[in-house]
Amino acid sequence: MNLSEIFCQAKAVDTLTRAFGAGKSAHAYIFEGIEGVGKYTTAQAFAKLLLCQSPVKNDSCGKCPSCTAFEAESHPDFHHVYKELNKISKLPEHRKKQVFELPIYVIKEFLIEKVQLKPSFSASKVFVVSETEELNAESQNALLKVLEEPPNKSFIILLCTKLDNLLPTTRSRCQIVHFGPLSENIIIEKLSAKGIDKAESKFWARLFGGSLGQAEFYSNPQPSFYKIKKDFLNRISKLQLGEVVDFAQWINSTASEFTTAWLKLNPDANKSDLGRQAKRAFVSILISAFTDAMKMSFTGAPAAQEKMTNFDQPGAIKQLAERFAPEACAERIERFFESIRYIDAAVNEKLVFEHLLLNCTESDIVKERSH
Amino acid sequence: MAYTVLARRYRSQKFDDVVGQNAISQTLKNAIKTDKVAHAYLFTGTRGVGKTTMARILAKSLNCLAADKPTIEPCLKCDSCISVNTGEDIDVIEIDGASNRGIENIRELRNNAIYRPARARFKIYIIDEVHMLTAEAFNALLKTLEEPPSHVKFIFATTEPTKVPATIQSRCQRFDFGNISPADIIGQLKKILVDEKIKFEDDCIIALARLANGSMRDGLSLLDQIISAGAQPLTVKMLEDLLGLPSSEKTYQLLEKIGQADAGGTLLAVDNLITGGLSCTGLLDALIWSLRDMMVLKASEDSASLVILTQAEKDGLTKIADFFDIPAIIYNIALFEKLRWPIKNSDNPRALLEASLLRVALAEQFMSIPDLLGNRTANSNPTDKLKKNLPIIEPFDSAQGKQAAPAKIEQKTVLTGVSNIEQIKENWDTIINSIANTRIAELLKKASPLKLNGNLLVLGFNGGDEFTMKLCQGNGRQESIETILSGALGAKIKTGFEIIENSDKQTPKQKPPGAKTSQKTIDQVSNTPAIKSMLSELEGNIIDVEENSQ
Repeated sequence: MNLSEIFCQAKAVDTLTRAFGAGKSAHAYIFEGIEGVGKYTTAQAFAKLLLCQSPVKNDSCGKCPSCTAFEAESHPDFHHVYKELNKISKLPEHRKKQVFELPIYVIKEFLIEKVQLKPSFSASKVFVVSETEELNAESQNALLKVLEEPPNKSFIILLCTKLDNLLPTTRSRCQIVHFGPLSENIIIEKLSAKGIDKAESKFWARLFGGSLGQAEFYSNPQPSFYKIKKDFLNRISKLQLGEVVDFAQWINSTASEFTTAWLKLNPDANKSDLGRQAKRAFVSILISAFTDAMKMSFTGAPAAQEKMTNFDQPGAIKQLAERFAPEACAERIERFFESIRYIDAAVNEKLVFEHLLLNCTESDIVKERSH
Repeated sequence: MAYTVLARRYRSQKFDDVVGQNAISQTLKNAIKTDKVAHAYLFTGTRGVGKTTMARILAKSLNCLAADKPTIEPCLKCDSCISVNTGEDIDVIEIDGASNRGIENIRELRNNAIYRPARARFKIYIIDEVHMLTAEAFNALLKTLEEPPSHVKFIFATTEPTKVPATIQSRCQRFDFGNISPADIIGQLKKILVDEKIKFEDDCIIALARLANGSMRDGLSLLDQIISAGAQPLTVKMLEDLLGLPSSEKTYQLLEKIGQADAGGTLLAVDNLITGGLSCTGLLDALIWSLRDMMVLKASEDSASLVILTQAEKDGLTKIADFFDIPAIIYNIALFEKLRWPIKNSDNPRALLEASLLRVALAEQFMSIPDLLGNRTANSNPTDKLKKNLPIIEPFDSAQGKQAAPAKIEQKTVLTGVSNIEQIKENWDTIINSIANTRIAELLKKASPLKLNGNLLVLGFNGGDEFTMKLCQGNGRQESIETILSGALGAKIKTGFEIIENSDKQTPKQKPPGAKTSQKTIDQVSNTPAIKSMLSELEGNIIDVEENSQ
């Protein structure tokens, strides 16, 4: 893929090509943006350009030996660094470890040591480091000297979803390129091309705030999360206190069904990661519903419906808006975000959802008491 | 055509070139002149203030081959000077402390340290990021560091001096590099731009210096980034576009909406900023910074040295500063700061940001004194309430506490047995003043009684106050308004709300400036329960009554 073929990050691509055109490409970049907006794709295309032997109009030529090698994914001067590389580490004790963050030995072995070697094919070397928000303090510090003055005209590109996780010392050595969320239409277009219903694509696009990767993942038709989502919201909108325990049970079992289904599709993935992802999706949907309800109370139903995430279930949202005043919605949204934290911290899942659902009924109890 | 970024190309080469660290340069120069160079130095300071630069200059000065003893003016031409600049000299060994942090690396260093330098006067070890050495490595270094061979010098550089053990620190001369002042950064950036023959607007450089936040390297990285966009002259607009920064104008707009308690407007302004490509943390930071600047502008007369703002920004801020008082600003800064953590740790933080901003916009900023005193009479333990209501301690719980408390206060009866609307109209101001719940009193101030049908009192709002009317209707407020009014009028009252198309709301006659308040008004005011209790608590007298125009 060439830089010019990247369809949704015009601003970022423009920044990169201009710098390249002016001969002012920095030696270290941070590509920053939410998941699934094309950071890695862009980094690859940019690397191809940096390595290309005869660039045409600020883009790689696609013909020179370097580009051919790159397309065959066998360019010796392009290095992709990611945490699972520990499985091919030269030390057996590293190979066995299960990695949660990007460990220092991966950075040392696959970046710091390799960057000292002269490029073998092109004029320079390019390193792309994925998931740098998972770099721990040791790894980042180990990177500092290399990032400041990389030897052998190397380029280092860090891909990052949470800029705040990088140390100020790391950030200050790099140029930060921001990758914005994709527009709704592009996501709908891409998903429709895969045969996914338009309303559904629109919903996922809005729920994940413009992340194509996430939208693609959840819109997977087998099994369909979208159908579940509709049931879920309908039940939430008229949830009664007595149903809470059963409903929480239902959410948990549904979430684990999805986990097993996803695990079949992608056997390499970490099971507990997938499980958390499914549960988080439920909370996200709940948050989106309350946000919609909150906005509806202010702008009135017809105007809000255009912009709502849950535009396909106006009835359910309306019911929520009637039951909860905007201030109450705002308060609940804040509490739901706390639940996401509980999920990440592996708190007993049943308790998390029961607590969550009690929040969705609470005002009714309060009202009964005041009568 | 390899390009070297500005921060590397313009790395200072001499003591006199180093910007913003004059005291340290001078001390080191004097040490060299008087031949009192210590054997170990520790340079500390935040990123990009010149630690590595100073270490290299010191190394060059000590080892320059053009002079026959250490000099304060290294020649920059000899082999030694050139190879130090690239970090490849055989006698000046630059070690990355973070990737060579183990004890085995330090053992190796110790074994090599005993050998004399190859060509220069000293063997100099520069250990950068020294804070990442392990505890064993530090301890292995102690003996050598205390009494190194006469030809060895150590220079350590770190951003985190607290992680360097005290035993190491006591063996070194420590220099703390301060943050570089905005004025110095502006000066240096301008000098570089002139050297590079690039045109620029002054405002852009001011904005850059602010973003640099005391670090020269940050400033230069940003400068590099906007230069590489290729357009000239450099403008603030380019900077904002390129870095995805919120334009200060839009941020101020959002603050204005929050200050006006305009919830719908707040949501729109947030939407506007986020669709402009701004991240949620970015937005929050921008808000915190604007509030901070606003606080400084409000608090100090001579704020020029404390805030880095362009004239347009200053004007914009002063304009919206009226909506906030200093305690409210401090409260909001604390609240937003607390919000940073959940927002930065969330995958899709937008909903949380909107919810929180909405609550800030709708919340009463602080409890008024009457409210507090009102609670006191109703509840015998005032400290209890205090903790619950003062938002700094528990911001998220405060709203509930506040809403519940005022309802307990008994409403004073102003009129008894009301039958006609004229009577209500006449006494409307008194009625409002008698309402102890300030939030509801605030809302009802914007209303005027229109008609009375049986026990249904219709309140009118001006066209612009539609939102206030909605607030009155929503969230169970209508019931509390009804109870309050029933109490005040001594009869069971239902309420209805209406929008008045052409404003016929009576504005109270303005009293001429400087005129004394009549005894009647003073009596009237001192009869309200809040003032009454305040007067008795504080043993005060009313000297003057001023009408607040809002």
